[in-house]
Amino acid sequence: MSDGPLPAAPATSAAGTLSLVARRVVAALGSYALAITLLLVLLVLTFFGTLEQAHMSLLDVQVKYFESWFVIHDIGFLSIPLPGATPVLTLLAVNLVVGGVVRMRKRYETAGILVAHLGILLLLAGSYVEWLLSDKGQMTLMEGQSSDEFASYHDWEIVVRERKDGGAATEFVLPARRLMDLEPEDTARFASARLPFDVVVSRWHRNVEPSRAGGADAVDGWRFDPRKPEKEAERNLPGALVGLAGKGGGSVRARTLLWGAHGLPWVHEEDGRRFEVELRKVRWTLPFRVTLDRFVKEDHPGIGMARRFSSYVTRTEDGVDAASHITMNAPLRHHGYTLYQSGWGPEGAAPGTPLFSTFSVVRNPSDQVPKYACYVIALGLFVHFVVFKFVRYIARESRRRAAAGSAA
Amino acid sequence: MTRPPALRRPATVAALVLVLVAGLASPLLAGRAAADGPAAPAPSGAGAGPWSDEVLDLAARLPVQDGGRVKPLDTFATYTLLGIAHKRSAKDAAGEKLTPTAWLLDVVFRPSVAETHPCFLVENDEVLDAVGLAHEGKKKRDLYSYAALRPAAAKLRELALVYMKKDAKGLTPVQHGVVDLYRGTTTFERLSHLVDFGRAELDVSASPALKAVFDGKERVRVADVLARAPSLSRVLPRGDPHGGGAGPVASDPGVASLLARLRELAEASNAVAMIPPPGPVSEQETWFTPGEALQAVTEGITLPPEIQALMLGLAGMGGSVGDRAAFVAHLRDVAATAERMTRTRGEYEKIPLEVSLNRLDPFHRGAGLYILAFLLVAAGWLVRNRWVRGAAWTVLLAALVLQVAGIWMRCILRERPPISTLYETVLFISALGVAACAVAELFDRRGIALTLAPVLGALGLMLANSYESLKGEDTMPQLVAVLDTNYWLTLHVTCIAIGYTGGLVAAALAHVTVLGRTFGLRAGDEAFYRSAGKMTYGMLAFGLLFSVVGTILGGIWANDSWGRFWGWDPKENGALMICLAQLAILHGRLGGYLKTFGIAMATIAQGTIVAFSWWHVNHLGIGLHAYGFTQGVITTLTIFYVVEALVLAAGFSYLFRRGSGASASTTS
Amino acid sequence: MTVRFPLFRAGAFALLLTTAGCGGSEVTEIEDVRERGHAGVPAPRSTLDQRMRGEMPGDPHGADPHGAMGGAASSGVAYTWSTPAGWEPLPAAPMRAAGWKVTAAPGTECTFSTLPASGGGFVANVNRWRKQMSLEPTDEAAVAALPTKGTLLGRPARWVELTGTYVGMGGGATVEGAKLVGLVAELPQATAFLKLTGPAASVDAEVTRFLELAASIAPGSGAAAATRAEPPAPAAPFQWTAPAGWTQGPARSMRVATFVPTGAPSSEVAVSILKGTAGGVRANLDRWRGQMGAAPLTDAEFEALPRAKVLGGTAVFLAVEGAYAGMSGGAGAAGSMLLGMALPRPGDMVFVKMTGPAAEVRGEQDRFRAFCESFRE
Repeated sequence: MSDGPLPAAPATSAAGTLSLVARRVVAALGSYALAITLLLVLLVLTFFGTLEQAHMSLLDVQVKYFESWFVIHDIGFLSIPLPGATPVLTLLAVNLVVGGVVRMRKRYETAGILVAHLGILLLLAGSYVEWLLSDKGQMTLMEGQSSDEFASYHDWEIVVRERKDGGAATEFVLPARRLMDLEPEDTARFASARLPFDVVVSRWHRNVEPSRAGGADAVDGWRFDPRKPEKEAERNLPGALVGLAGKGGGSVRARTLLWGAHGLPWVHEEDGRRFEVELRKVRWTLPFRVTLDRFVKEDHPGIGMARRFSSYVTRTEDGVDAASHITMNAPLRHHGYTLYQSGWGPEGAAPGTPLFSTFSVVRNPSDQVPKYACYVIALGLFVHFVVFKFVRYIARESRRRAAAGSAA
Repeated sequence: MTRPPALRRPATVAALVLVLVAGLASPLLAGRAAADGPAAPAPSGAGAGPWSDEVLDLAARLPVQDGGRVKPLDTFATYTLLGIAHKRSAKDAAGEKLTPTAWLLDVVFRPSVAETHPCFLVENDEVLDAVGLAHEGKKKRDLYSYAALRPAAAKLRELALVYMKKDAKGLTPVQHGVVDLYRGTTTFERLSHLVDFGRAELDVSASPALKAVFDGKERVRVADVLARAPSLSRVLPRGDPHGGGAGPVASDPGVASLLARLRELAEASNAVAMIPPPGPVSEQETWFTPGEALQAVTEGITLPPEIQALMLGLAGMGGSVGDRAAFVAHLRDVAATAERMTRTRGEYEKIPLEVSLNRLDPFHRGAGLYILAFLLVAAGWLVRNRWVRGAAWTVLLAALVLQVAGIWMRCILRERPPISTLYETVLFISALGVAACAVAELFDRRGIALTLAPVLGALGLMLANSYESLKGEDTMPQLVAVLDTNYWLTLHVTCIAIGYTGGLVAAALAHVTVLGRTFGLRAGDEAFYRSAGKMTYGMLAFGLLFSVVGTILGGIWANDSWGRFWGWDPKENGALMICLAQLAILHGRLGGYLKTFGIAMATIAQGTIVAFSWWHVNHLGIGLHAYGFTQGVITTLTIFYVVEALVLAAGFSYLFRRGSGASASTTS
Repeated sequence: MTVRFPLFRAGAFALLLTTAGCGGSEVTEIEDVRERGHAGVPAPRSTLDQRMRGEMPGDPHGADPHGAMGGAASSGVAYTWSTPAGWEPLPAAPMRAAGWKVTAAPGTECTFSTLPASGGGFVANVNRWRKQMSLEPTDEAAVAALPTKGTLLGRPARWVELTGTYVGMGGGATVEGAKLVGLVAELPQATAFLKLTGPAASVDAEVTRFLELAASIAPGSGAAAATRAEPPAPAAPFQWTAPAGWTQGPARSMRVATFVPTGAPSSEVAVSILKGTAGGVRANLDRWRGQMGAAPLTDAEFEALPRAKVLGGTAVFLAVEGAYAGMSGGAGAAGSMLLGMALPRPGDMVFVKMTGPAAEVRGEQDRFRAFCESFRE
């Protein structure tokens, strides 16, 4: 990396000026100054994002500070504008590539640094892939229950389920991304060729509480009162007004309020077809079924604190059963999905209450990338600091002492 | 260097060191002598006077199950006392010092004496105002005896029960104090009733059937009941031995009242589980309290012979406190039986080691030694003498060895790597910091690192000790399920702690540069500052290596445990902030923005970030209502931040002075 | 503004989003259509009122639509009870541990449920019932003034009695002149609810049986030791076949099971397990003999006792007649009989004991033996 002022080349032609500008831009992108600035901005951002967690849910902090382009952090009356982690991390990756890999002088003394930089790039790339492609949720089973679906922690979707014979159904899932970006005053219309109606969603609120009401606003004597987001984002209960309208812009012929806390779907029948409309946490389907055979919780003696808990499950795929044991730090990995033992409940259950087991379910193609990145970074830093810096320092010192000794 | 002409001074120093080391070893030797050797005859005194060494030794080793693990009574006593008095020792009314075990023995076996021991720490006398207790002539923060608190017992209970129903975060410090004092007195009361069953006399005169069982005696003791349990079971009502539960009602009023009294006594003696189940651990892990055993007797269950022996022994101890010889005889029985039963279950092996650890008390002694080492180092500045320097080294290494031994013993006791709790991070980081300084001193013998080493050691151990006494809880707790993995505890936690150590030692070394330059010390000695700078840089690089690897390992652990690599939660963010700060400094150095002095300044700032993520992130969002332990942490951190800010301000003033001087160069 | 998805992700699809996401009048095509073979049971029709209040329509098919995802705490069989005469159990349903209907009185139903202690509070739950009866919510003081009547799961229970128009019933139908009686008991970590609803006349007629049912509800065999204060019934580590005519009684602390034979109503059979050796087989048999006023066994007598292979171990049987000392304190009830079985196993000891009037117990000897021998893992 060279950081000094570039020699003022005489701009003889437009092309020359352009190349000069390009060189300056590249130099700036790869500069130490940029690296330090970005590291410090990220440091401040992390600091504020940490403090903010005393007042805001972790999810909201992530969205506000670490997945955004721009942040305004308030301290009392003072509002501090900062770039969000998205541009900072992106620029940092560019800076790392330009300054820390491409333009870095490659000598054997800097080999360790180069390796460490590559490791960090690998880590960033892995995290980016994770962001882009992973699904994370949970599955809760009581003993004897089975499921092939897992649900998101905080994202919601609306599903229209058409019932068929023999327990089968067709589910039309409204895209969560579109729903969750709605503002309360927005109206969104969803259609499918296979549905006899369009689904119209309005008055979407992220967290609501229903109340009895009259007047034009009310639906069947109820309305939603917005609430501020909960400190724990998974406790938010959204609500929306959902109408079924004639296809191609027709008017609404049936409508109801859907609430995240509803235990039952809204049942709508039309032309002998039975539809269930439900607002639920986003669900993904696993390519296999999981049955919880047995859940075991062991407490430390005499104190009500779990020492370990684990689940004995059966994984069924194409009619073939396979037994597995999922416990803390020992997940079940299959077909790109990983099931982790994450919890149990109900919390503070009375003796004799049947317990349920909760698994975190993750599909993450870059699952193992951080591990390899960690090896690479550790190797690079070790080579640089221990092999080059420290060993050389010792060698120099002993030479100096020897020289001093002989001089005396 | 020339050898001093006279040997007198070095000899004195050497003698001092010898005395010191012998002093350290003596408690171990004394402990062993008391354990193995024949017991000294107990000083007889009808219930008064101090406990004999034999009693204290036997009692200290009694196994109990508490907090989910089997530990010696000594440990239980220590943390019970710490929870009440926030000290590791108590005093009796006459001001004589009591070990925790001696205190506990008083509470259990001589409650009327224990009542006069001032062992309840009241942090703020407004707590006493709140419960309507006069406290003239006492300090704002002072110790009170149970007897002194008794007049306010009703009010204390009334208030505490109200406060305990509220959210703890909303309570004022005084309200917290009321709750704590109530908890303390309750603990004291429960313990003081532990062997009531041994002291009680039971009236069986109303029932001829009962009198027949007890050979015509009208007043009997629980020991008699236990001894005659088989014949007694014939007169027990509706004797379904395995039913019990609801407790059938006896038609014989004498039997009914005996049963009622026994159940009452059983209820009162549940303070500590000290009766091992007769079978192996795999069958039943949870120990019984004496009350549970007594309850079983009232239900007509025949106690297994070992439990019967333990109960008889405990009852005997309770009933014979006026007769020391009998007391000791019962205690010997109890100790022998309990040890045999616990050993059979495979739960005894570590008891002696833990008693030794308590006796060695390495972290308190170590703190003292570090302070002594610092004084010797300081003396070395005044008197340039290799013997003084040698003594400083000796004492420093003795303290370090003691500290490492303590950590090692804890590892063996817990079957865990050195760090699994916040308390243990302090022990580990300060030991490693001292060791790192000692190694640095070997490379660069300018006394810089040697001066810092005892300071770090003493600060670390004092921090650990105040943590322990503020918390007043066993520092070897059971871990929650997710931490039950020695692999990750070793890998991630140790790495992070080493990273913290590097960052903190670097920050400490940076003070030498900043303060030295600012106050013009050793102004001409450029080599000195070059050394200090190099060491700062070296420690920072060392810290960075482990911080970065440790932080990523934390993510990998999280990914392996619940499928999420990074979640921006406070603890993760804290680790990341350290990495970022250290990376920024090293890049600043490479880019030429920071020279020696600048690196030192930045490293000090980085030190506050280490402190923030080590301690502060655990207490975020807790502001004005902090109380007790948390308040201590926040106050300490605030002082630390302010002091470092002052140091940095001083550093800036130096930069400003230098900048406004003739030379505008930023090199130093 | 609510930005719900990582903008990093959004950035990658920036163009896509702008085209798909702008304009309220645009129609979004539903692309995610899933064919599901196991979609559970169809949900019952419900009114918005019922959904908002979290009530289930009375439709017995109303299974939990969330299936696996719900994890209702109350849906396991954690309790035992004896169904009153003339009542019949209802199929399992969410939000309740058990349900019954009165056979002769249509629309009169009883439900038993537990909620975690944090799940609403006493006042909120009473108000939930009031809502179901179309009554205005009441305040804390009024709820605090509710009387106590009997016990539920061993705890004193508060008695709630409401009359009004019941709206919590199947398909949104309402019942005028309905009555609700309920018992609420606070357990250490949960609240238990038992309620009976229906037309006022039939509810009044069933109150006695309702209270009988309340008294019979006990923690089931799933209970595990958790607190020192209340050792609950130990879990049965083996199975058995109860002889004809034996009815299982309520669970009791420290017992695995209790039976009352129909033919011997004054007698009782208790199954219990003690950890460890419990003093040995012979000492326990002698203790039983002692309770019957009999002398300890001689070596020869002990050797002569009948034995059988049970659960892989050797069970020893004892039959002794005499005066059952426990029954009347000192004197003992003459004409009693005790049947016993002691089975030492590695680690514990299984005891079965039957006591009662000799006339009754004698007739049960074969069944007792058969019962003991029916034990299996």
